[in-house]
Amino acid sequence: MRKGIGFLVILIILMGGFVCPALAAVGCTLRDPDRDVRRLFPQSTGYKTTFIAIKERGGEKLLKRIEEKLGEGFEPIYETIDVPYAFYTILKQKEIIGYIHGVNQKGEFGGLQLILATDLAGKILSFYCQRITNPESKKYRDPKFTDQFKGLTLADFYFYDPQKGNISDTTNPLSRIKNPGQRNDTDFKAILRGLKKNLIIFDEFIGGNRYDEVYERIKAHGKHH
Amino acid sequence: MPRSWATDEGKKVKSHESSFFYKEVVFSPEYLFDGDNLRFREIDPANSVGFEYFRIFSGEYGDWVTTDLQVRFPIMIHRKKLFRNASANFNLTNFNLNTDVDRNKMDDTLTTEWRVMYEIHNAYANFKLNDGRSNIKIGHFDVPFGLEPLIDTHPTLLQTQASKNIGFKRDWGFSVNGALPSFDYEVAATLGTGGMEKISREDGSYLLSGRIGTPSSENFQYGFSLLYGRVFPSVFGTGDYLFEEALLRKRVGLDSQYLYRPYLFKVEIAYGKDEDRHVLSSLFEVDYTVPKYQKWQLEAQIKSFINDLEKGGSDDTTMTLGVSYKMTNEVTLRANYIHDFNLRLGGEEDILGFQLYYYGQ
Repeated sequence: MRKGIGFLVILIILMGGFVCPALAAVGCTLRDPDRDVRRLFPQSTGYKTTFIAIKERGGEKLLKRIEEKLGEGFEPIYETIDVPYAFYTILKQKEIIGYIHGVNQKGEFGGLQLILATDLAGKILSFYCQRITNPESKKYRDPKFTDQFKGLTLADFYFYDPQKGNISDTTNPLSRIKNPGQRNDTDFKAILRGLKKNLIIFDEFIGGNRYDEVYERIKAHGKHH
Repeated sequence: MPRSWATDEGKKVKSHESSFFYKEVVFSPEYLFDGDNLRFREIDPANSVGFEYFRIFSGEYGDWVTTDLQVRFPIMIHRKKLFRNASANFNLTNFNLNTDVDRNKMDDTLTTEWRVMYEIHNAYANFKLNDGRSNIKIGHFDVPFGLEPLIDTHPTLLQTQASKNIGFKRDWGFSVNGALPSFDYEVAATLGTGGMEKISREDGSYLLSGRIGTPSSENFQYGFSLLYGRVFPSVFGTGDYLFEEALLRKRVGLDSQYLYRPYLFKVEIAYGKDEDRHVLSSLFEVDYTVPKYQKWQLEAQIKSFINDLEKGGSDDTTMTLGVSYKMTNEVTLRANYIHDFNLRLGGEEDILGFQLYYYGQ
């Protein structure tokens, strides 16, 4: 028995380091990170994975700020304060060339997993649905639909109001993107909300709040929600 | 437009944000239908406390190794009775296995009083090589066969056929694994004992296994598996054994998962031999997430394992109906009803199982 406990202690030490602050179940990780990184950033030579939670970075205050920017409160299944979000920092040798990050989002039939590849400024380079349960999922995964998001930033998504499900500025490129599905727009709206949330969280955790002035300007003009 | 920004914002990420630590509590009482009464089943399948420590180590050029340590401390109040039940249910001589129950081990267990126990579940390091195309994994990890390495059955009441096809879920050893453009693969060489409490080989045991499958991000996934070795099957997935000699085991398997609307279909079929007996295992499962109330999930599963294709009535077939409710992000409640159509010793059995599962801070 002593031998066994000793073996276990040695094993824990070998696993390395210290224990970080406790986190709940991980939000949305890439299922095939190596394959995805090679596909989205062919020039990459490696990537670093990190997990960041709202609770750890700013607690309730940050949660309220993110909800305010999103224009809607978080819902309890997929969006809790302690869910760590996975960020993949893409490297070319030692240089950072981009990021991949995903979120879970409540959809019509279950959880959606929405993955974005962005440049250093948070501009969308690529978008895809890692998980979507819609019967028309092929349409939502079709590049004809997903490619329309390329080049957009959080500045564009700040015009989207998830509560009303509309875009307040009809000249915004986001307003040109139409629902590819025929059944209803539930998952289309969920995708727009999830992408907005994804970009807000990225801006808070990694991007250095570079789009805050855009948000404040839109808010001051009353165009946001 | 916002002003220009430094290109090293990502470096603000803290080093400890490449790891996380979860605590776990499992409470799973089971009840047998005994005539008109419900009787507490004198087996504690998974009452335990535990933890999981996951960490990714990175250097200047990116991630280079992923580690995971997941340990449970079972509370086995009815350990002695577990073994009595196990020896009765195994009915080994009925199938002419060239092996006997290890009486000494069993007697030792039956006279063992309270002791602290632990079960090592995951304990591995996966070293990234060749840009993720040919990683090397060392430690205690899922045997790459069938559905088990794809779905996390560690916290659930519903289980795959891993314990029937392999004898355990995880084993000590090493594997080569990776993601190629159109498929994932893993090939492993392990000790063949499961080793939840120690690293050991018994009676020259060994296990070679491998699975190749479509990417796990697809809605429709399928895989092909092979397994060959001399293994020590454990009792009900514990770290205990009833055999004195290793069992020659061969399997070929197909598995598939299909996500459609709120349904997730799972299928697993394996054919092979245990010593000189031809065996066939199958599993069919449907999980249904209630669209309007996504905290609720309904599950139905049919599992069958034919111990000897040449002998009638040698199957062990169960049907399970289950429900799970995600109370919070950390707490899940589960309940299921199991009907065993054909116990080894004849007759049928009905079991009602409940589970409270906590996984979080």
